[in-house]
This record gives sequence, structure tokens and C-alpha cells, in this order.
Amino acid sequence: MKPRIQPTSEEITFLPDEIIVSKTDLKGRITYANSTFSRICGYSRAELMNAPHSIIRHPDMPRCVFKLLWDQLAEEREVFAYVKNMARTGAFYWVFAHVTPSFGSDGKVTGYHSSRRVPDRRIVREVIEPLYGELLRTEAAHASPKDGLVASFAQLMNIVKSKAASYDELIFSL
Amino acid sequence: MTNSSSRFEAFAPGLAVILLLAGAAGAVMADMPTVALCLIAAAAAGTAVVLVLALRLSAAVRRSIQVARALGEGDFEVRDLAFDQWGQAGELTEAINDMADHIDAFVREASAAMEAVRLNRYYRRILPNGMKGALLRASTTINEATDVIQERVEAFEISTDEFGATINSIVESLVDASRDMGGAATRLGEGASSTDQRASDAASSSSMASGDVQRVAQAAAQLTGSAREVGREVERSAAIAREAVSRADETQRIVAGLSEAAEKIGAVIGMIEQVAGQTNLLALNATIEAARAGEAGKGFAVVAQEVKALASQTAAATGEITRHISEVQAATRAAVGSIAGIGGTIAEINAITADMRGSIEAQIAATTEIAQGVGNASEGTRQVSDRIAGITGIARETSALAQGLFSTSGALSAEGDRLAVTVREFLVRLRRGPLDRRQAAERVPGGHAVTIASARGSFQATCVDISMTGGRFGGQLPDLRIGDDVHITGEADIDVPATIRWIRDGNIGVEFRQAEMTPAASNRLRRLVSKGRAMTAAA
Repeated sequence: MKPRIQPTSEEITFLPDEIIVSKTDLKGRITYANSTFSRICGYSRAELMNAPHSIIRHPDMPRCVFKLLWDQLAEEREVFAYVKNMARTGAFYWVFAHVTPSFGSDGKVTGYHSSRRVPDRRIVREVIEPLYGELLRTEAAHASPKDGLVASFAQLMNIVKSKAASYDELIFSL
Repeated sequence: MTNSSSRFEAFAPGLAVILLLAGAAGAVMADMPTVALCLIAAAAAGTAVVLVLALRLSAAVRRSIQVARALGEGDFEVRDLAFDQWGQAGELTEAINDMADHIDAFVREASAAMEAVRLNRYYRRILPNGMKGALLRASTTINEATDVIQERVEAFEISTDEFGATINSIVESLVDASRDMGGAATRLGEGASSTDQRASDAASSSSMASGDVQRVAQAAAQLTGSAREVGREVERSAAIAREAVSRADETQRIVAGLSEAAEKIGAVIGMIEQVAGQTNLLALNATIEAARAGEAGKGFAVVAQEVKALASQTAAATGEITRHISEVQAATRAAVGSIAGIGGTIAEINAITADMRGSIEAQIAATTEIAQGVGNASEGTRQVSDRIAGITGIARETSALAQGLFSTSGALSAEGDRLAVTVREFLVRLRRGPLDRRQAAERVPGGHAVTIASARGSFQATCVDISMTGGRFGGQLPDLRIGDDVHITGEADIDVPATIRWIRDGNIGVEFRQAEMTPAASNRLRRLVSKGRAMTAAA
């Protein structure tokens, strides 16, 4: 495999009228990436194609957020999530991701589609960063990654439940 | 810049070939075959470049046509995957992919936002970032429409909540009032039946009293009669007493006459005693004379002796008569005294009788009054009896009315409850009416076995048909009621909460409680319905 990329404090931004688009197959392997995606993350399309989407995963992201994302996708529901991604250089960029299943003509899910937009910096700074920090600490506090994931997911669900009727509603209320 | 470079890319190689060929023609005319050959070779090379460029562009155009066709057919998954080509081919690829991405994003956003509205979730808006031009305007329009729908739905919710609350409070009042009315009717009925009982008691008492009064009246009448009789008797005894008084007076006079006659007899007896004494004296003289006359006088002496004895006898007799007369006189005096006493007594009796007559007259007046009073009382008790009979009738009518009132209040209360249920259901339907109607058309045939669990037990059933909002199930149904909450589990072991909305012909219709459904359950339901729809469409 590729050498582990060391995250840096450099932030990459993109314009509000730009969308980072990618499509994946059912296993999360990239089947399409638009030029904005390639430009921001620093990987060429050739590198991105067929690569797992986790190629841009940032170590600051709690795993429970991805569990929630995949759980909702498994129910054929759209998901919104604030995600911190990591570019090839180790620089980071925040996105507000909208992930939806793609359906074939027979009505079956054929893959997933992700449109990522510039997030509201205030929400990222005031809500998301502290929240993810806490979830990450919970995950790190457990010896086994599995237990950590269970604990942080429960913590996330409790926070959701205390603030809104659903995760979706909470995200849109921010 | 792009335009001029594109134009350069399109025309430069062709222009170069034309110039090279023109140069070659010039070289031939100038009789410079080497130069001409070189130029022709260069032109051939340029032509090859033109050809390659044309093929590249043609391939890019072909891919673009494929993507555009797929987009036209609504397939947003297809992209031109020949990335990072230089020049116009690369630009075309990126432009067509960018177009597909934006339309794809818009369609996903718009349909997700509309799906959310369909599920009565109004927080979901289209994210305007990344949208441009008409797509941005359409997004804004859809978001504004969602705002309006949300406002209307909220206003509608508030109105229906208020309406529901008002109806509920009316129904509560109605039920309370009818309960009070029922209570009042019960008490009224109890009162009426108690009145009836008491009136019956009073009627029998009054009837008895009436009989008593009747008897008293008769007794009073008899008493009056007796009093009159007594009066007459007293009158007669007074008359007898008066007669006795006059007789006593007469007797007194007679006795007084008797006393006078006795005194006269006494005087006569004195004379007789004188005669007898003289006779005795004569006889004594005769005896002496006869004794002197000796034997001649002897017979005479006997006569004288007898005269003497006669005189003695007379004297004795008169003495006895005197004694008798004295006795008669004493008796007469006693009789006079007695008669005088009798007269006094009779006078007293007379006076008493007079008094008695007054008393008896007062008594007669009193008994007459009593009789009259009793007669009135009798009439009174009869009227009381009549009125009590009337009261009994009214009490029975009241009792019947109270019974009617009680059942009416029960019916009223039941109607109130029914109204509350109807209104509640009406509001539920009203709130999701358009949704229901839309999805009623999407009802698809079922056929799979399910378990329906309710508070009345759990049973197996078969799904007849199903939609996103509800389903119809058949089977051996236990005693279920409309409004029962049930949980339906199918083969996938996913619990779908539902409420029974109707029971008919061995089938039940349930409405799914979507608010309580887990995402897995909604999803399972959606898959079932879409599968059914696909099967129906295939058939």
C-alpha cells in the first residue's frame, strides 16, 4: 500500500458555486470523480478511479459518523454529513457532503453518489469540530476499536436525540 | 482565450497543410523539386496530425453524445470517463460531465426535498450552493414552495389542533352533561318511584282515614240521635216530676184533711168516753140499787153487771181507738213531712232537668257540628285520596320519563364519544388526506404471511394488499376492534406499528403509524411496495 500520509494544518478551500462530485459502487470504490474533486484532493482521476473512497479519509474524523452514513445508505436514505477530508499533501478540507443511493432501472441500488459543498464555517467551528473531537476521544478511550465505535455511536445518537427528532432534522437545524 | 486557442487547435494544422501544399506547388513551378518534396512530406505529416486530431475530437463527441443521450433518457449515472485530455476533447469531456453533475445534483436534491415534503418533513431544503442559473432559480422556487407548504401545514395543524381541542372540550362537556343528566334522571326516577310508593301508602292511609271518618260521622249522627232521645226522655221525666209535685201537693192536702178528721174522731171518742164513764157510774148505781132490792133486784143486778161490762169494753175500745188515732196522726204528720220532702226533691229534680235540657241541647248542637265537620273531613279525605291517585299517576309518568331521559343521556354520551372518535379520525385523515389519496392508488397486491400482535392476542394473517400508508390483511381474526393498536411482523422480522381503521368481511384495514416506524421498517415497506409495483407493471 501507499505510505501513510501525515496530516498537516494546511487548509484547502473551494468556491461556494463549486461541487465536489464522486460516484462509487456498492463497496465504496470510486467510479467517477469530477475535476473539482481531483483538483482539491490532489489525486489524478486515474488514481481516484477504483480507489476506495477512504483514500481521502482524515484521521480527525470519528468512525461513528461513517457508520451512521453507511447505516442510512443501507436503508436507501440520503445522508448529510460534515466531513473533514485529507488531500494528498496531508492538507485538510471541510465539506458538507450529501450522499444518496443511485438506483438502476429495476429500482435496485447500483451505487452511491456524493455531492460535496462548501460548509458553513461557523457551523464547522462552533458545532462540528467540538462534537467530532468529543466523539474521537470516546473512540480513543476504548481499547478495542469495536467497543470505541459502539460507545461513540451511542454518544452521537444521544446527542441527536437530545436536540432534535432525527439526525437529518438536527443537521438542517444547524 | 479558450475560444481563440480552440480555434487555433481546429484551424492551425489544416491551415499549415494548405500553406505547405501551396508552398510545394510554388516550388514545383519554380522548378525546385527537393523543396517541393520536403514541403509535400511536411504537408502529409500535417494531414496525419489533422487526422489524429479529428479522430480524437470525433471520439470525444461520440462519448459526449452517449452521455447526452443517457441524460436525455433520465440516466444520470453515465459520465465521460476519458479524463485529463488536452485541448478541446478534454474541455468537452469536462463540460459535459459538469453539466451532468449539476443536473444530477439538482434532480437528487429536488426529489429528496419533495420526498421529504411527501413524508411531511419540512426541514429538508434544496442546498443552493453549487446551483446556477435556472437550476438555482428552480431550487429557490422549490424551497419557497416548501416554506409555503410548511407554513400552511403548520397553520392547518394549528387550526385542526384547535378544532380538535374545541370538539374534544365540547364532547367532554356533552359527555359530562349527559352523565349529569343521567344522574339527574336516575335521581328523578328514584324520587318518582319513592313518590309513587309514598303516594300509594298515603292513598291507603287516606282510604283508611276516610273509612274512620265515615264511621266517626255515623257515630256522631248516632250520638246526635241519642242526645235527642235523652232530651226527649228528660223532657218526659220533667213532666212526670211536675205531675209528681202536683200529686204530692194534693196528697199533702188529703193528709191534712185526714189529720183534721182524726182530730174530729178524737173529739167524738172523748164524748164516747164520757158516755161510757157515765154508763159505768149508772151501772154501779143500778148494782147498789139491785142489791138493796134483794131478790127482786137480782135480775136487774145481772143487767147492771152487763151494762158495766159494756161500759168497760167501750172504754177499752175508745182507748184503743185513741191510740190508733194518735198513731194515725203521727203517721199523717210523718207523711206530710215526707211529702213536703218529696216535693222539694222533685223541685230539685225539675231544676236539674232544666239544666240537663240545656246541656243536652248544647250537646246536640255540638254533635251536629261534629257530624258536619266529620262530613267535611270525609269529603276532604276523599279529595285527598283523589289527588293522591293523581300524584301516583304523575309519579309513574315521571318515572317513565326519567327512564327515557336516562337512556337518552346514555345515547347522548355514546354519540359524544362517537363524535370525538369521528372527529379525531377525520382530523388524522384531513392532515394526511392528499397523501392517503395519492398512495391509495399505489396499493399493490401482497400475499405474504405476517403475524399481527395486539393487546387481544397474536395471530397469523395474510397480507391482501399494501401501500406506504396502510394495508389490508385477512385470516382467522380474533375479536379485534377499530382503533386497536397492533404490531405487524413479516418474514424479515421487522416490526411495523399500525392502527386498525376498519373491519369488514373477515378482513382488517390498518393504517401504519409512520411516526413510530423505525427507518428499517419504512425502508422494508418501501421495498415491498416498489417490488409489488414492479411486479404489477410487469404483469
